[in-house]
Amino acid sequence: MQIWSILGALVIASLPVIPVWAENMTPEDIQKLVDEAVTKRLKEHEQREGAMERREPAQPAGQYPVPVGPMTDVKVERPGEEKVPLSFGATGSGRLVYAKPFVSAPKAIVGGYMDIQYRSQSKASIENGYGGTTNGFDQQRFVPFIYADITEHVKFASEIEIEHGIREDTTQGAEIGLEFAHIDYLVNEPFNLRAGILLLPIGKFNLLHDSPLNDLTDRPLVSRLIIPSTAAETGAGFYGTVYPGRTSKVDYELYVTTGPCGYDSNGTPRINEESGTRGSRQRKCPSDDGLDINNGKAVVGRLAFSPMLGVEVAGSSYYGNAAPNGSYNPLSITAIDWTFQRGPFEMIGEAAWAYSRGNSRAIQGNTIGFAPGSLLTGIGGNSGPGIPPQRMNGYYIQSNYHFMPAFLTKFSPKRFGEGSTFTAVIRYDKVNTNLDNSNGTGGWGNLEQISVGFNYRPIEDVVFKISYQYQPMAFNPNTSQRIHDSALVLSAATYF
Amino acid sequence: MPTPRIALVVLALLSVGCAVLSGSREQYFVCSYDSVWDAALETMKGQSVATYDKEKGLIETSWLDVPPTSERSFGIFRREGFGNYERARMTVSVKRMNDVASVSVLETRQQWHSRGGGTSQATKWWPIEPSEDAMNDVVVRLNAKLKEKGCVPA
Repeated sequence: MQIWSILGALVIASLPVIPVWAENMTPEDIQKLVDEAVTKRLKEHEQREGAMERREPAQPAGQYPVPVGPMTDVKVERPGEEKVPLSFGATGSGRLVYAKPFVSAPKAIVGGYMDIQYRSQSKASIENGYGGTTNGFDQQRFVPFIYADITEHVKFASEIEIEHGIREDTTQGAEIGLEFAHIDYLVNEPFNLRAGILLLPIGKFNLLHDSPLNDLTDRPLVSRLIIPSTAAETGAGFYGTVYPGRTSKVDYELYVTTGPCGYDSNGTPRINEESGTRGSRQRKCPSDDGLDINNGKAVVGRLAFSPMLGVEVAGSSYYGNAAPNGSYNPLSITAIDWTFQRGPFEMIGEAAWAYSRGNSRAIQGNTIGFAPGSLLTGIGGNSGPGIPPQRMNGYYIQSNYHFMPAFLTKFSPKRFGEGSTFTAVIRYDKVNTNLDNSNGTGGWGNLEQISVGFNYRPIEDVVFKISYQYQPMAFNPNTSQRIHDSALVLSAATYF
Repeated sequence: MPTPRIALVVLALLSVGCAVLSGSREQYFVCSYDSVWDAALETMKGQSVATYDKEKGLIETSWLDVPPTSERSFGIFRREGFGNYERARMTVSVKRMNDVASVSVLETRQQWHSRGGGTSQATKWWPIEPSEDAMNDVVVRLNAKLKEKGCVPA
């Protein structure tokens, strides 16, 4: 009705400019003419609208800026502008903030995992800055991830790690960081490119370290102290898979990365008995913006051979200068890992050797009062005379048995049906972060642990775990003493 | 020094694994090698054969997109964000023996993306168990061809 009135008014307003209408016309004739003209204009208007409606669905899907969901006001009204790609050439008001590729064509997946644990140690060896406790809750990891299929050949993956996230004050050691974030360019299966913050392929555990994947709560000692998982560095390289035989498969990864951060700016070694190589990770480096401390780079690679389904053996190595400019003290870590699966049985493990050359001696330009090349003593984090370690090694062997009693499935198919499983686990850990320390039982990092565990997975991605750890050789960080210890650990972890 | 002991354990398990984990369907026929080879080749005709070598007795298809054998989702919400893709290739191997020939059928199957959210491993194919149905199908067709050629199971 409103359109009818407007068009009528327009037609009447245009009458004075049509001279022929001014002569010999009755009011009825004029009304008739107006009606005809309005009807004609209305038809034209409807045709235009119809054409627009027919055109709109034909717009290519995903073309910027196509309205999606509730953000319909993103649409650009000016004809032709819908073909302008999102760039500096694009124009628009504040609405452009919504004109992102992930709005017009959503391809990103947001997920993640979290865990929660309760631990009870027989001795007050849980470090808390207050002398230690024997038991407590810890929400150790909350890790959102974002994954995106940018194109068929370009992929993006990242994990944001928030450790012990209950803290909000960074001075209390809150840990928030990008665990990895990389762009992959897929060329073909044998050769693909990757760049970004990369998970270092040293051993297998560092690559597959998510809490819901692991059948025990604690990570293996060798994967914490010798291979400092989670170890990641900025860098680039390539990876791929080839199939040399009928059932066999070879996977490889090879990257050039920033390299280890083996020293503080005053020349104090960051690799020590207490924490092994953990302090040398780029994420822990005190350099500005986590940048490289020298002009050298590290090379890291892993080669995995799987002769058949369920069997894999791999070797990996990492090598890079850990000292600042002016010194060359490389850190090398070499590892082997293995996986054997047969029906419900599984045997996994890895062994690693690290050599931090020259770590026990002072470097050039140190300001801690040692002549370059002389033996360092009294360095924190090391037992006895405080000599930092050079050589360290360790390994773990873990056996898993997956099962689901039939009576439970019968009792409650929803809780114990397909996809749910129980797992019995046993693991032996041995590590020594200073092979040169022959003082009695060795240094603070000469550790041994036997873990027995049991877990329940209602579905593959959720796990409730219980484990008992016996530690004939342990270390109390609160008192800096070698101890015997044991622990009961309960935890839950899930992907979301 | 744990190195030698670990290496021995790894090698021992690898050897045992090689012996027991073949997973293929192997059969023996009282028949000439040529007849069994021809039957195998006819069975695989039209299956996107990528390589075949009579001397080695090997017929192998290329990787083919196949319907997934299981539901694929991740996380507690069972989302399907990474897709549910599987691919497989079929291998038929014929071996000469004294008076018989052996023929084995094996499917190699892979799934796109690791379980859960191991996203640094997302852009990768992961091996999974082969489809029994797919292998059975080939075995049934192969046996029919062999029967036509007068080959008798040993």
